[in-house]
Amino acid sequence: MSITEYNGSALVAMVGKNCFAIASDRRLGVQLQTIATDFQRISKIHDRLFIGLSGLATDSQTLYQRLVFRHKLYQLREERDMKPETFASLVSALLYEKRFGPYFCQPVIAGLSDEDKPFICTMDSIGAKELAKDFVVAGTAGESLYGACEAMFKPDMEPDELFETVSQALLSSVDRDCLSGWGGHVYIVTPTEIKERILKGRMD
Amino acid sequence: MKLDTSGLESTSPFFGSGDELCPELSAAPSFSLPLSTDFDEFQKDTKATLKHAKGTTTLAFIFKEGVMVAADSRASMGGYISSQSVKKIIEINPYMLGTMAGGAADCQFWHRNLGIKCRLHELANKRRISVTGASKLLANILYSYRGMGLSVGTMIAGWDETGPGLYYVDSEGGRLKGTRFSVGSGSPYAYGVLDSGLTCLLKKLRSWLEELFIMRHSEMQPVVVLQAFIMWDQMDGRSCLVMMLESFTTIIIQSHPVQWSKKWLKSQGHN
Repeated sequence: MSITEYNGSALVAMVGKNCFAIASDRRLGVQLQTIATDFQRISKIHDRLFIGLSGLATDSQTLYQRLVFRHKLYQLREERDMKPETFASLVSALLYEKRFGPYFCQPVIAGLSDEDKPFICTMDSIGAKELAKDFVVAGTAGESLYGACEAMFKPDMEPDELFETVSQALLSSVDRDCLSGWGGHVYIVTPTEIKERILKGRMD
Repeated sequence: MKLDTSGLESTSPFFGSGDELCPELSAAPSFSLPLSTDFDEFQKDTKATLKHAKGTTTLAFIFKEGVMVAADSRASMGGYISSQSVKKIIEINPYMLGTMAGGAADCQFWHRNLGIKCRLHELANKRRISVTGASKLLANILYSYRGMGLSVGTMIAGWDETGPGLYYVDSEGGRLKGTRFSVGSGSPYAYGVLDSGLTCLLKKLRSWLEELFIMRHSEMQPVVVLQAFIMWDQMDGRSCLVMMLESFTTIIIQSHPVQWSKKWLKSQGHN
């Protein structure tokens, strides 16, 4: 089994009308054994910018700490929050620093620009950016998520419909994956508010 | 090299003797062996290419009211879940059950084979075969194929004239009699619960239901739809209770309604 599949994960981000959703599963495992069922893979960078880190949990946490550190330095120097595009470049640069001994993570970045335009992006473990207009996926359930999102996604969804879509896509995908699951964690971000919801799913 | 196929042979020929029209039918079935100078090495390679079903929890135990068999129902290929509703408990006949761990094809084939043999025994001797006898039949067959790459880990549970019976049989030739067993990759978890939670005087369904619920939470791999069978304290298999429990929903029941178990389930919030 590959080291990126050691802990298991499922991550998805979707774009709606002036909003976005980012969702993950809640399982932390060691191969087939479940260690925790309330694991956090998605973190808030600032009020309209989120990052989810799939892959090896230890690397995800280390990378997250380094990203928060760099973002805080940026805030102090520039006296403003980072734009999603800028942040994606920062993540990419940090990952490529470790080109020959990478963090075993596949990040998913989702944010709203100052003009309320949603931005989503994913990259591989050494920082190759992949921008998308509709949705991005990552993790051990990635293949299933691609299928589910491809079938369920519609452009310009309102926040409520977006929540439903992303949740259904996540839950049906993790039901086909041994290494992720145990419910889900969904964030719906609009220009005015952040909605955070815990999903119940199959608990096995 | 000659393969001993005595395990496949029935006690009587299928279509009388010397059927000239269709010789394959009248001959005892057998397996053809690969034309290879080094059979062991060939077998090793074949084994590596055949990925057997992994990630199984099956358990069985004898308690006051009878013998209880339970198994998960997930089939996976690597990390991918290929089915959530596999039957890992095989009904050999109405009064005997077998469980499936290891190679699915091997288990299914040899359980069916055992079913045939048990029926033939019944017809020849005008009485049912004992669980002891049936399990030994299977163990002897499996032993005759030892080293040829069969992968079977099974429990044979049922009722006979002596009461409830439970045996563990595997493809290495092992056969153990006992009151509680668990087989499969999830067995350490099941044994943990079984050994700490199961008193020898299980009075009600309650405790094993609890067990299964706890088990479901301790390993992610097994226990999706639990297939639980109770062989009730009666000699005829018609009172076999079939229960299927799914995450968050509990579907009950076919035949033989047991009042207190329903009541208990309701009290636990399952309707």
